Amino acid sequence: MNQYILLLHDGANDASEMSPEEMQATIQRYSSWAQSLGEQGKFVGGEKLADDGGRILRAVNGEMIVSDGPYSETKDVIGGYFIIRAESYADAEEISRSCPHADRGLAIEIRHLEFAEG
Amino acid sequence: MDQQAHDGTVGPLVDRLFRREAGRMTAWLIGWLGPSEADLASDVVQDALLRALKTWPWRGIPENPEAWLWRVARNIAIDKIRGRRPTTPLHIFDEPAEPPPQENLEDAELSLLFLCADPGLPMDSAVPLTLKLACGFSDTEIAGALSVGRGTVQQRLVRAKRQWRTAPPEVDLSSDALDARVNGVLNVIYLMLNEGYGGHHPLHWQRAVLCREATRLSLLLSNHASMDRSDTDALSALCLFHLARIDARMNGDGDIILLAEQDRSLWNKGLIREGFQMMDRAGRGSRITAYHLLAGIASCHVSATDYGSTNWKIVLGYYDQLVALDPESPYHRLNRAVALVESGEATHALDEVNALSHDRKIAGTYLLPATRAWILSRLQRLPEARRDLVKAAAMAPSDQVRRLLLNRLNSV
Repeated sequence: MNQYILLLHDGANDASEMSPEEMQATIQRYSSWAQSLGEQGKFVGGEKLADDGGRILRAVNGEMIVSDGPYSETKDVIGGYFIIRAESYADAEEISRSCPHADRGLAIEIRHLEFAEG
Repeated sequence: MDQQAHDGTVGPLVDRLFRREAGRMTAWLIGWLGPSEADLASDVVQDALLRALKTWPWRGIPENPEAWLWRVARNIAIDKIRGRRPTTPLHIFDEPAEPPPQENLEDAELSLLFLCADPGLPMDSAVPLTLKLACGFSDTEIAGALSVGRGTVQQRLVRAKRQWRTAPPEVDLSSDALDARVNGVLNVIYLMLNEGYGGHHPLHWQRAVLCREATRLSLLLSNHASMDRSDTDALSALCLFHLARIDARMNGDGDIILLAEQDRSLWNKGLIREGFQMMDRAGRGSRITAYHLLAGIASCHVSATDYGSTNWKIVLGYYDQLVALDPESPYHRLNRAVALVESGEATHALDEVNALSHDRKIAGTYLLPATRAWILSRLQRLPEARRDLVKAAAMAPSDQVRRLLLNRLNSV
């Protein structure tokens, strides 16, 4: 089986007016999703990325330049990622479709991990 | 955080964990930092919950979610205080990162209840303040619960918290002076219960979350060692009897089911049993308060196997006492009229309801024509009953209530 990384875009969602129940329910939905994938052996892991947007380093005219980024707007920030096992892009898309992140109107970027187990 | 990337194996969160911990953490922070820091306390708690929302979906639910929330809240509090007052001595941070022992938590929560019902605060601040701080409601949620605008809610909260900053009230749970302030707290809880059960909200016939929170706070008060009062127990009994029937008051389509038609097997027997235990405790006091009488009425309903076997004589007796105790309340008199009808005095009941049509508190509500229509239909005066139902439907606060009244109109 192949591995895919799901990059979860975040930021545009304002959660500050959510009630504690809604927050808990949202967390619970992700957790159940991961659990059911885990039971099918399709869940590899997940991590949260810091909200600061990170740094980007590149050589410009022979000089290393570090800047904030790589995102121009906070709403483009990648909030975290999941790594899943899937047969194909189509399969990975299907799994992503069922991810609660998609229901919240947030984008999921799906990338195939080249090195992954065969 | 010493937590591994998750493998999806952690089980579900405890029901209503966030709501409960929000109240507890806020109470604890306010106890620690003082009421003048109420804003900081709610910001810290909100940030901690948001941090969980932003982290747990990716990393999984931590093994001990409570401890995680408390640790994060403590760290956020320290960061915020350091940022604002860099010279704060460090010993102020010697506070537990884990949830404190149950007993200390209950003290903190109880103190917060007394703070929110402080007699020095404007009357209309007490309920929103309690919902915000003790129950973890967002401003939008409070606005929805109380049917007022979000701006109004914020205004009331700001006013109260400004007062806390200029003259921070003190609460000493061991002091006798506390006793005199209990009434204010009971009143806040009773208002919450009424809002939740009330039926006058534009969107919702009932709000279980309000009834549940009112019950939780009332039990907190009843069960606390420093409270030995029968009126708190009576209010707890009333809350429990109401909460027990919540699920039976609406069907799956969102239609209202009135007492006479409710499927009584849906009533929560455990809560009813707990309510009767509270009634027993409430009976030990020498005083009879309105809460005793209201709990008594509710106890007649929950102990009847069906509507027909309700002991209306006892219900009416309680209403008589209630009206004598609180003659100003038109609601007690209106409800008493129902008990009169069921005791075979429909004509008398109609006179009583007609007499209320001059009461300013109730004259503008659908309750008056709706109740009169019901009495008129019992007296077989159907054209008048229909007229009143049409009038009531036009005044209905919500679609649910309007649907109920129009359905009745069709069947009269």
